Amino acid sequence: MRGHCIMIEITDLHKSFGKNEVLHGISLKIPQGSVTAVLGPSGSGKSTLLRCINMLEAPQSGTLRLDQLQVDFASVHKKDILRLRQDTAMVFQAFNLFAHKTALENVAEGLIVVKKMPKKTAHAQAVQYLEKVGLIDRAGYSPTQLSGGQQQRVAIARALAMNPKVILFDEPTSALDPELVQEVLTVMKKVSLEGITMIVVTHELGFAREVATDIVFMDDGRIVEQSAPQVFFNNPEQERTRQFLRQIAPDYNYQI
Amino acid sequence: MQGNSLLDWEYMLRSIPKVAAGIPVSLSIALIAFVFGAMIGFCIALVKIYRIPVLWRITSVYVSFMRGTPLLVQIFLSYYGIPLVLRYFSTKYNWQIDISQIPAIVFMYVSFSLNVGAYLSETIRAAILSVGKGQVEAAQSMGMTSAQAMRRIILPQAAVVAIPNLGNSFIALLKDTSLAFAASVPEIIGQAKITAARTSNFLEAYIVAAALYWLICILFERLISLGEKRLRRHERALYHD
Repeated sequence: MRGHCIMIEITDLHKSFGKNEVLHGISLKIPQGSVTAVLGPSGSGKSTLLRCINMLEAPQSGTLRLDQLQVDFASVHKKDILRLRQDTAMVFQAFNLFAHKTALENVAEGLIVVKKMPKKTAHAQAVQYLEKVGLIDRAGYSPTQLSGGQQQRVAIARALAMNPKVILFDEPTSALDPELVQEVLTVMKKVSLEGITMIVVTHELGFAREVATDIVFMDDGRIVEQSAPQVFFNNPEQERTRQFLRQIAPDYNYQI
Repeated sequence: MQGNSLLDWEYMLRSIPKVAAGIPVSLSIALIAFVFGAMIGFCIALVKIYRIPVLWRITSVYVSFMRGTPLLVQIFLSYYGIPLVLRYFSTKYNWQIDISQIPAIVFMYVSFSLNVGAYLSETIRAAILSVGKGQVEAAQSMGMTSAQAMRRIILPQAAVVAIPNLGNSFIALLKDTSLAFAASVPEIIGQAKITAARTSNFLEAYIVAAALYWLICILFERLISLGEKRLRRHERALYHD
């Protein structure tokens, strides 16, 4: 039932750092089960928007509804922040694995601490998620012994294990060597097929085109255009979008 | 027998048990002050990291004072000051406590804890900040509370970073406890003084004291490096599996 109901609804979100407003009233609907790619030039506020969804950044005003949970950013309670974070998971650009824990322990940690699972059960589940990202043979390795691509796949397993309603990907391949990007994108594509709602801030246009069901294009703290990938890449509505596509991928000019 | 020899060896041997009688006192001051100092230091570190408004100012003045005045002066301030303050409140609110019954060592616990706490706050703060912000965000993003993230993610890693400095601080503290003799507390130096005063064999008694301190410090250095190895277990490579 893809796209049937709305998983996330953001209304008029404003975020400033000091006196500098970086998000000027964002409103956005994310359908359940969709894969939304957030594109845009650097400094356009993509990552900040993503980090507002799990309140790693606190917006000044606006509202957010995630499934049943309604949050007003201007008067948000600690309890709501925790619930919001328990319903979402995040994959970071720099992986951010827990350095003192093995791959397996990284995946099990949230299950033990947040979901209060017994250690044994948590580890058994963690094994399944490591299997899903193809790293079962690295279960006992610590993050420093893994390649960037492997670390990011562990991070994805860690996010999946929490069984979130939404996974937020913050430029998941930007810190990777070019030859390691594909293995992470492959895992992400596999995850997308399971119907979990994903929001992906990315510079990978290929991934956006192939895997995303929605494209959100941002510039200067505003959403310029939200459309399906076919429309976005072949027939964008806004001049700013065309300009962006011309700049980063000249070949799109010649597509029919 | 004493004749021309440089030192009275026999006296030295005899005085070892007497001087050693101060070891439990020295150790108790060091251990208690270190535990409470670590707690104080941890609280100050949190105040500084989270920049808690009013407390931030207060702790800054406190740390500055503790680092800017001699420990000996702080010992005297505790030794003479705390009873005075207690007496004042005791008469004002009719607490009915006999201040003269409080042993001097209690004031040593207080002054050494306060002193060590100030020094440890910087060590602990730096160790906490050494754990990447990204890991904290990862913990928060999965729904951990700040306390859970602190306990499960930050502290285990910060402890490994801090342990060499904590070890140094403990060794320094152990030696600093020798100043407690100034408040008539019978720790190692206090015992050495008492023993030597009878026969004026001061040099012998202090050599024994020095040897005891040295031995104890070597012992603790061993313990600390063992503890460090245990804490660093997760950093050991697993290449061979």
